[in-house]
Parts: sequence; C-alpha cells; structure tokens
Amino acid sequence: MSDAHVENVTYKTSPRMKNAAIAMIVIGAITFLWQYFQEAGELRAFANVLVSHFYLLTLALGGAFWIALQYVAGAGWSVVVRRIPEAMTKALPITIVTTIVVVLGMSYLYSWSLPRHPSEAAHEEGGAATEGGSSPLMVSPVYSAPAHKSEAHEKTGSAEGEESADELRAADEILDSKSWWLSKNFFYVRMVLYLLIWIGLANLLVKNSRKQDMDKNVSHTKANLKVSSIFLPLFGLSFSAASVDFIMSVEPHWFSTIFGVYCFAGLFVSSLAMITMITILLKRRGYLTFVNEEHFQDLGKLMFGMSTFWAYIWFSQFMLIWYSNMPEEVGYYEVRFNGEYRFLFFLNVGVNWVLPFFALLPRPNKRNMNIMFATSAVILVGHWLDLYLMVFPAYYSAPVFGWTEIGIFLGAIGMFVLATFTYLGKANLVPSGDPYLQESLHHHQ
Amino acid sequence: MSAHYSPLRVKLVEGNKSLGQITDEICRPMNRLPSKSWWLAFLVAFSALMMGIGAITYQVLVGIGTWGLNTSVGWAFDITNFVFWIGIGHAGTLISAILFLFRQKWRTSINRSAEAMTLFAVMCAGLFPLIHMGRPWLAFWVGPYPNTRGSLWPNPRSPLLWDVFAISTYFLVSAGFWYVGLIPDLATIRDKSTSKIKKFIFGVLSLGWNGSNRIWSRYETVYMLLAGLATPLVLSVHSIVSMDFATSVIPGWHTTIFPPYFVAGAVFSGFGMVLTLMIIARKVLNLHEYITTTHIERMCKIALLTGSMVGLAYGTEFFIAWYSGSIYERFTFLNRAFGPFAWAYWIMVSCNVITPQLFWFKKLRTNVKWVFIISIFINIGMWFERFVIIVTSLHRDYLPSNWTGYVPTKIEVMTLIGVFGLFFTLFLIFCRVLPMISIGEVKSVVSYANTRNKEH
Repeated sequence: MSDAHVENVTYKTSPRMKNAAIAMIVIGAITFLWQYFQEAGELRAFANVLVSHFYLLTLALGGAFWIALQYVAGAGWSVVVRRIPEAMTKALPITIVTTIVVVLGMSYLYSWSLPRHPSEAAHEEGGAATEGGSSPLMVSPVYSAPAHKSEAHEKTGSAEGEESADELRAADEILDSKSWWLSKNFFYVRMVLYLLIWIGLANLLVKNSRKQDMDKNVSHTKANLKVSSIFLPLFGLSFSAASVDFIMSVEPHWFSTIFGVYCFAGLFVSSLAMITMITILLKRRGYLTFVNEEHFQDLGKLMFGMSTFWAYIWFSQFMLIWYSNMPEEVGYYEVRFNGEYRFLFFLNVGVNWVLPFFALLPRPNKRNMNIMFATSAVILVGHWLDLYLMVFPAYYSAPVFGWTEIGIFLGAIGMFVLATFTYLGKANLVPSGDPYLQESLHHHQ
Repeated sequence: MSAHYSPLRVKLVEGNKSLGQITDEICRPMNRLPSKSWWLAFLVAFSALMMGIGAITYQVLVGIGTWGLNTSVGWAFDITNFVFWIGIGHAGTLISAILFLFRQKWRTSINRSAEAMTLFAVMCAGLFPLIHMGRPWLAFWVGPYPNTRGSLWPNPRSPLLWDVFAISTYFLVSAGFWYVGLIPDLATIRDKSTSKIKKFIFGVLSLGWNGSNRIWSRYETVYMLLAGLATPLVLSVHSIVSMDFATSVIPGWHTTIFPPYFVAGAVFSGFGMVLTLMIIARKVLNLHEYITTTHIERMCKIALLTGSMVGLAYGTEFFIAWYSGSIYERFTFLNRAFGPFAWAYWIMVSCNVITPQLFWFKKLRTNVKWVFIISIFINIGMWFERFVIIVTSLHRDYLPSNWTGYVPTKIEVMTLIGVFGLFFTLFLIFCRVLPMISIGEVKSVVSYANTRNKEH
C-alpha cells in the first residue's frame, strides 16, 4: 500500500451559517434581557445562563480533554477528526463571558453568597434584616427544602420573603463552617485560575498541532504529549472542583463525592457526540472525504461506552443515596425522584443512556451516518436536560420550561457554532503533518 | 492488517523471531524439569499454604472468635483480605477485555498470565467469606433456591448477596474467557507433544481444534464477544464490593464516589501485582524478548493513571467530608489521618499516591529493578487502603465509651500468609503446565511496526 495524500482544505464558512449563528446569539441575548426584566424573573434568567454556561464549558473543555487523551494514549485512528475537537476548544473563551454573567447573578444562583448574619446583612443591605435563628429547628438545617427556597426567592420583592430567607440563613452553621471555600472572593480567584489553566493549555495544544501542518515536524507531537500529560491531571483537579463550584453549590448543603465524576462522564459523552455531529455535518458538505465508516464505528463504540459509563455513575450516585436514605443527602433526590421532576428524572436516563445504548449496539448502526447523527443529537439534548435537572430543582419545586429556556440555550449554541466554525474556516481540516496520519487514513477495524 | 505504522511505533517482540521459534521458546518451560529456583519458590509458597490450611482448619473448628474483632470493630482483617484479593484480579480482566477492545496489541504478551492471576486471586478472595460464615459447609445457603428453612431466604436487598452473584459471574466469565483464549495454544501443544498421555490430555482440552480458517474466524468472533461481555464485569465487581460499605450509613463508608474509586483502586492494585509477577517471570523463565521494557513501561503508565485517580478520590473524600459540614464525617477523616491508625493511613497515602508518581520519569519506568520495588509498595499500599477504610471507620463510633482499637491475632495473620501461599502455589503450577504467553496472539503481533523499513 502506498501512502495516501490529503490535500490541504479549509472549511469555507457559509455566510448563511454565520448569520444564523449571529441570529441565535441575538435571540439568546434578547431572551435573557426579556426574562431578566420580568417581575421576579431574574432567577430564571440566571439559572438558564448557568445551565448554558456549563453546557458550553463541558463541550469546549471536552474537546481539549479529547485531544490530550489521544496524545497520551498514542492513538492513531483519530487523527483525521482531531481538527474538530481543536475547533471546539475555541469556544472556551466564550465561557469567560458566561462566567461573568453567572458571577453577576450570584446573589440569585448561590444562596451561600448572601449575607447570613444580621450584622453582615445590616452592613450590606442597609439594616433591613431582622434577628433570626432562635428556632431550635433551625440550628442545623441539613437540607432546606427547595419549595421553601424558591418561595423565598420568588418573594424577594416583599419584606416577608426577605425575613424568612434571612432567618434561614442566619442560623446556618453548616454554611458558616465552610465559608472559607464558599466565599465570593475565593470563588472569583478559582474562576480565574480554572479559565487560565483551561484556555492556556488548550491553546498550546492547538498551536502546536497547527504548527505541525507547516513543518511536518514530529517534535510537535512530542511537545503536545508533554502538554497533554500536564493538562490531564490539572483537568481532573480543576474540573472536579469547578463542578462543585458551579453546579453542586447551587444547593450548598448537599454534597456527593461522586459529583465531579458524574459531571466528567457528561462532559466526555457530550463532547464526543458533538465531535461526531460536526464531522458528519462537514462530511455532508463534501469535506473530510477520508473519514469513513471505520472512524464512525470507533466514535460510535466510544459513545456507546461513555454513555454507559455515565449511566453507571448516575446509578451509583442515585442508588447509594436512595439506599442509605440519610437526611443530609436524600433531599436532593426527594425533589427529583419523588417530586414534580419525576418524569424528567426518568427521561434523563432514557435519552442519555437507554436510547443511545440500543441505537449504538448493532455494528451497522455505528457505521451509518444518519443514525450516528440522530443519536448524537439525542445525547446533546440529553446533556442539557441532565444539567437542567442538576440546577433547576434547587430553585423551583416544579419544572419550568418555556421560550426562556429555549431562547437562552439557542444563544449558547449560536456562540458555540460561531467560535467553532470560524476556526474550521481558518485551519486546514486535517492535521497533515501528524506522524500518525497514515495510520488514521488507512484505519480499519 | 494495515501495514501503515507511524514511525513513532515500536516493536512488540524483540529479536526478529520466526514463528516456530516463538512456539518453542514459550513452550520450553513445559518441556523441561523445573529449575532449582522454581523448586525453591514452590517450597516456600507451598509451606505457606500448608500453614494457612492449618490456620483455617483451626478457625473452622474453634470458631471465628479466634479473630481480633470486638463489638466496635466487627469487620476487619477478613474483609480487608477479601477486598484486597478481589482487587488484584482486576488487572487481568482489564488487560484481556478492555485493552483488547481498545486494540492495545501489547497486551498479547501479558494477558494469559494476568488472566490466570485473576482466577487465582478470585479463588483466594472467595475463601474469606467462606471462612467468615463460620460453618462453611452451609455456604450453599447463599443460593436462592426453594428450601425448607422457612423465611431463611437470602435477602436480595443486601449488597452481600449482590457480591455472591457479582463475583461468581466474574469468576465464570473470566475462566471462560481464559479458556477460550487457551484453546489454539492447547492445540499447538497437542500437535508438538511426543508423549501419548500429553497428546491425549491436550487433545481433549483443545476441543478438536484444527486450525482451519473457519475455526479461526469463529474463534475470533467468540473472543470479541467475550471481551465485550467481560468489560462491564471489570467495573461491576468492584463497584458491588464497594457497595458492601457505601450502602451503609457509617461515616467513612457511606460516600457516593466509592464505586468508581474502588474500581480504579482495583485496577491499580492489579497492575501492581501483575508487575511483580511479570518481572519475576520474565527473569526466571528468560522471557525478556516477549515481555520487554516497553511492556513494563506501559503497565507503569496505567499504574500511574489509576494511582492518580485513587489519589484524586482520596482528596475528594477528604474535601467533601469537610465540605459536608457534618461533624461525624469530619471527625472520621481527621481520625484517619491523625488518630491511632495514622500510621496505616500514611502508609496508604505514600504507597498509593506518592510512590506511583515516580512513574512520571521514563528512567524509572524503564528500570526494571525500580519498577519491581515500586510494585511491591503498591501491593502493600493497596492492602492498607482497605484496612484503613474498614477499621478506621469503625473503631471510633458515635459513643466515645465504645472506642476501641484492633489488633489482628496470629491466626488471622497466618491465614493471610497462607492465602498468599495458595496464590503463588497456583501461579507456579500454572507456569509449568500451560504456556505463560499466548502463542497464537504473540505471533499475530510479531510483524507489528516491524515492516516500516520496507515501506519507506
């Protein structure tokens, strides 16, 4: 067999796609503002931004994780699709913006960021707070019911609501005992740190890979192997911590040690679905002709495996908390499993695992672009639902869903598409200098 | 096979071997009398086994009151050993199933013996619940079948019963997988052997293998299916073992990260043991060209990965214990690190988290002596991990008047040594009677990355 040659091709950005993406961003921004200025609508606006923020973050960071994983594992087959995860990392800078919005909405999203003691409250809110914490029941609020919380949030306009919320917070020994971690300033420091690590190392990986297109030098692969080895442990630490910061702390009394792993499983499978989807989109437009069903079968196998891994982690967390039934933890599932979210709770497993499991099990399905595209789309919708179920039950005792959710999510997707396809329009679609390229081009099962 | 190897790929078998040479070299230990060093090792292992049999007989006769347990520490040495041995088994299945699905061709030199190790380790593990039953002859009571014992039906809500099913499934599938992989090699030995008895035995065992195209193709399909079926088992077995603890409400035991954390730990400990065994085996049986430093280096990388995962899990547990705000959680973890069992905790941390970090250095990964030493540390550390989790969570419970310590009795220590004896006895016998390396599979990778000179 002779070496196959691939021509240097870049993606021609179609103005229609660009305009559509910009339109989506505008819709997202308008929806956010519209929701924000509704009466007592701020919480819902910010909660949607939080979901979209983490959604974008997992996709973009998932791209960087994928690249690093392939370098460290010395994988050959995946080289032909590497430009796509590289493009996905270009959405990381967007998360700076979304992080800022989340920080602006902190007082709505994170009850731990509110002043808890009357003196503090008096200091910050101009003396509106009352004495609280006299009730013996309030000494150790192991888990405050979301219904109560959302009431407190929704009534922010009335004096009554403020009082009851303040009372709850005033006696919160648990939050006091961890105020070192859950404090505004340290939170900001961590955000900056995470973004620096992620964006810095992801850019380095992409830069080396791009340079290799020009000089075909193996040294870039070796350099990226080093960068990847540094990235992976840092990613493990920072992403675990970030999932606690962004998502777990929306219910600041609840805790689960597996939470970081759970978020990681979602990150892996959803970014894989996004890589597959973009590959198919490009292929349908006549690009990436050398990506064939062999590559799709491998992507499909991994998606199948990681979707099952997600289900395994989902089950581990749910089953252990349900089985032990401890008041410190079980409230989390009380709302989701026994409350109004029950249907969505089961739907979540259906779209993130049951459906992909059966869709991806037969070999011909993994080699079929249409089925792969549809399954990826299901997983990507499922990932949104998964995040929705992590965030919204903290604020609302029953699901809220409407144009706000759709609009803000569209805005996030618009930003993602714009960033990703702009990069694909600039870079050669195949890493033509990669020493593993021939293996990837001649890949078969 | 694709003939396109990246220039970065390395050969998997050294020494430009011919296919016949591979068969001869791998079968050689089976065709000659055992060496002195083999006899010495066997003698030591067998003596330990005999001592263990004595200790177990004594426990069964006298009762498990011979253990060092007390009312606060109701589970200690026995369950520690059980979890330790179950964990050891995981590397075999990971190598044979998961690495197969990931097309890691370097697995071919080590999968056979790693799988054998898995089977022996699971056998060792299975002994401990049997002993703990007190009346091992009634062990069949754990089986759910219609009986005359009234309400004495195994409780399906108990993770201990899940263990029974998880581990027996694991054992059966691993044994089946191992045997299926052996069949072509058994046929090779049948064809090569000159003695009639040997020919007969291997003839029966190889199930009429004739090496035709059709047989090979069926074989490969079965092997792939079994790999797919064995893959979830790698995760399920230790997940369910972890649930023995995590479904409880004991601080230090009940934590949601246990299933994946136990699996990572199991793979880590399994690779520790595989490294120990392989380094000895390649030296004693002169298999340097099959189990090369490349193989050892890659196993070290997996140990580094899983060891770091375990480290992240330790950190997460500690952090969340603090973050939970629960005084009991916080106490349990502080007590682990600074209480009376702090020595065990720090052995665990230094062996499992700090030591494998040495594998970041290529110089150490490729230095067989260092790898051997580190692998011993991993074995020790992973035993202590289970000891720390089990004993430190129990010995100081909610009522300070109940606080106790725990010291194993001589009988318990003798049982552990005896089970090590069983493990090594079985492994040494395995090295003598079956090909330690998968002949058929190694032949399929001998050309790997070997043809590139012709390409360019």
